[in-house]
Amino acid sequence: MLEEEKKYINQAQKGNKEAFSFLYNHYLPGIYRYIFFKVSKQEEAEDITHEVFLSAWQNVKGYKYKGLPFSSWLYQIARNAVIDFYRTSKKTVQIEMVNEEFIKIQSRDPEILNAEMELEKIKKTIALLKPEYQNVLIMRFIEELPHNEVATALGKSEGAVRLIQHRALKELKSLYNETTNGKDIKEI
Amino acid sequence: MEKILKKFKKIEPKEEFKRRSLAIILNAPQNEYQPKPLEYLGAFFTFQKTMGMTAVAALLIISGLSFLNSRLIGPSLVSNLNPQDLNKEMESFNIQFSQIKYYEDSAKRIEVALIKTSGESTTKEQNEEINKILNEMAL
Repeated sequence: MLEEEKKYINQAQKGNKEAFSFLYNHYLPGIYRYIFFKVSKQEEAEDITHEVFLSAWQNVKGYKYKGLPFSSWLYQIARNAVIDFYRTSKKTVQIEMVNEEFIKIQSRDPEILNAEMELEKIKKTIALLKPEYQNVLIMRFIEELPHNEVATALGKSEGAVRLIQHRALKELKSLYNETTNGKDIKEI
Repeated sequence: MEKILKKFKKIEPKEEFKRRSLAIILNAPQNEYQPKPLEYLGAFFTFQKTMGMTAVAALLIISGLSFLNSRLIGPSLVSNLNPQDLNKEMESFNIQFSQIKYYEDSAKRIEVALIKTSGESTTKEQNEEINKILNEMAL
């Protein structure tokens, strides 16, 4: 993929729209998911994702290949865009406001229903974590990016990413258990 | 937990959003890339070039210093390290040592000879005389 990707990047740098469309379609879902987990509303996630790819298109001529996939650069832009979003709008993620439209119950099958409810619960728990922990968890486990790419995107060393991943998982599990137990108690 | 997280990969943006967003993006003009002044330096000083230049600089410094040493400071130092000169210097040291020894021995002999010539007085007698003088001074 990397060689092919380099070709598309070179063409996009020369203003080739088709080449950029390929990169856009390839990386959009991942970048969108990353942003979606960082903001509370679908509209906000769409707006920021749009800004990220607009910035990428406008500044792709300044991109330099350093042996890592194009996604690392895109995640860097996305991360900064999310920071800017919170800085300018002074918004904080409120769990009650978390839009559940994306995890809509499409089917009444109890098995799927349970899985979707679980996902919903996890998303809410992730929102409680520190931004740094959220970034690593989303990139590592949802997007399945390798450590070196996550490290580049977040401007950290691979060792630091591994450490953050370990702590983030531990905290996520602990918070998840707490919320689950809390609910159970309430329900009882 | 990791397995649950992976299930989130199902989340996808809407097709309508994808199309609309891409159309807007591709109609926007691209920025011309203008590298910052430091980027030129960064591009020029790659790791290999920097290492090569450091090696050349080190070589120049070392050879320059050795040249200065041999031409300006060196001659006297080099001649000082000549074995013949060193031997000569050692001989002069030996002569000086033997002279010192000679003077020490001769001083003792002269002292003994002087005592003998000044009335054959012994050390005991001399001591008694000194004590006497000291007592007089104390009184």
